[in-house]
Amino acid sequence: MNLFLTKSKIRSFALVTLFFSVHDMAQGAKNQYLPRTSLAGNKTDTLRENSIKTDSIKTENMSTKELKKTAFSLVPSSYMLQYAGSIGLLSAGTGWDYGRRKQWSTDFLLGYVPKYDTDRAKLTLTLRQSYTPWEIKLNKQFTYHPLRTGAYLNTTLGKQFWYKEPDKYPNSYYRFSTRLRINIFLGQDFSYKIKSNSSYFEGLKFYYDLHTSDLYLVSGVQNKYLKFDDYIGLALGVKLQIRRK
Amino acid sequence: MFDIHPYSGKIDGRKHINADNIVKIEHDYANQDTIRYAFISDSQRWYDELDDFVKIVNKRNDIDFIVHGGDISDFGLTKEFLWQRDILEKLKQPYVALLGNHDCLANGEEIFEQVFGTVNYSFIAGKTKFLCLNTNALESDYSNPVPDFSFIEQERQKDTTRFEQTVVVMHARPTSDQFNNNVASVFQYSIKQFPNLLYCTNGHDHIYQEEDIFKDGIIYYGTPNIGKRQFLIFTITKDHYTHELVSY
Repeated sequence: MNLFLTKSKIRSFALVTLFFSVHDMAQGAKNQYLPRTSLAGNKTDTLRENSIKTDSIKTENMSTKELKKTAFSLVPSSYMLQYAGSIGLLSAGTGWDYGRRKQWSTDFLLGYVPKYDTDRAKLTLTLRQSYTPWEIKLNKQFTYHPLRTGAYLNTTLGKQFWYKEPDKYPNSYYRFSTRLRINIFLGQDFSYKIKSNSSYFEGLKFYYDLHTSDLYLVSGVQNKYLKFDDYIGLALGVKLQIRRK
Repeated sequence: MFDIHPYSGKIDGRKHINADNIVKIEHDYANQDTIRYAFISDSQRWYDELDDFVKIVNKRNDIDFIVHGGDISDFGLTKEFLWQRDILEKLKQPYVALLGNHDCLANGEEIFEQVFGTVNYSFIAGKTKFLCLNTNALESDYSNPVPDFSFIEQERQKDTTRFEQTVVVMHARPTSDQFNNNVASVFQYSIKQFPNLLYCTNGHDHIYQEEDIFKDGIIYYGTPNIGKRQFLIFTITKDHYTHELVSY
């Protein structure tokens, strides 16, 4: 892999480093500000303790609320691993689930493409937005989303890829980007809730996506020769859901 | 089913096609006096039209081989090379492909080299040497010679007992936006040093062309893109040739 430090590579590495350091900070902040309540002790003691604590709890609760809000937007909901999806052989990342019914997800992934028959392996970055409108509880342990859909942007690192053709070309010579891809997908996911109440991860989620990209779509729809399975791909992934405190 | 990456370079299926097909062409037509071949080009994203071309040519029994002038892919995607290759593989007769400018996008040139072969090559059918050159200079820089004059000179001196006339094939012709026009007249001079240069053929411009560019009697024939459902057929005999624009 060519580790030539170009401007765009530096930018991408800075972004990834910033993301991980902010994530670490948020984890630290979260651990520091969780309210500590004693479970042992008798009722009267607890009552007095509680009345003394009321004021401090009030202030502590306010700052906890604020921090929970902040922590909520920085601390991820899950870690994930994905196979294929036009973003790499294997990709790893984190996701944030939000919305009143947790129906929205934003994922960020780093993908690895082996070199195969080319001269170098490749790294990709993906930003994905998913929407899961319906949730079906099968039993205490299993739930599933019969539909997950959305889009993801993928960028490939490396000098042979560009957003816009270099200046040597006449204007609008190629009219597309070799570096940035927009993909759309439709899929489903299945969640399994871990039985423990204290494990770091509270569940496992398996998902699959049928996906295609702007270039595959443009190539596929304008002719009869190419069939769905030529330009629509299958991606498989697993998410480890982090326990929310 | 699983797509790793649009530019993965993960090649399944037949590779090194030009080399293998050249062995066949040179063997089958070594002693043939009359050579007739089809020249197509710029089939990018015109899958239906290319598929129909294969069906049309397969119905005929008078075409010895097929030459594709380049632009097999539109975006340089790995899958494009494979999709187009799979259509061409249905041809009953052997074929060779040249590199087009679109084929150089991203890592396209590496994929082309794996699936088809080197970007500059030649073969001899009957007594005619076909010189197939990479002329996509705008896709390259000075570290990579386009056109490769060393290669041209080498070819001029190679197998001189096996050929008496020459045809030069390329994707982008001199005066086009891709060609290194700074050396256009030098290029023309170099290829005219070959034994009996008959004519040149090109693609890239997506229209039929028939032009004596250098006013020296050497006609450059351009073939339309396959999307127009047209192609050229050349018939070469000793010291003479005819051509035909076919629509289907």
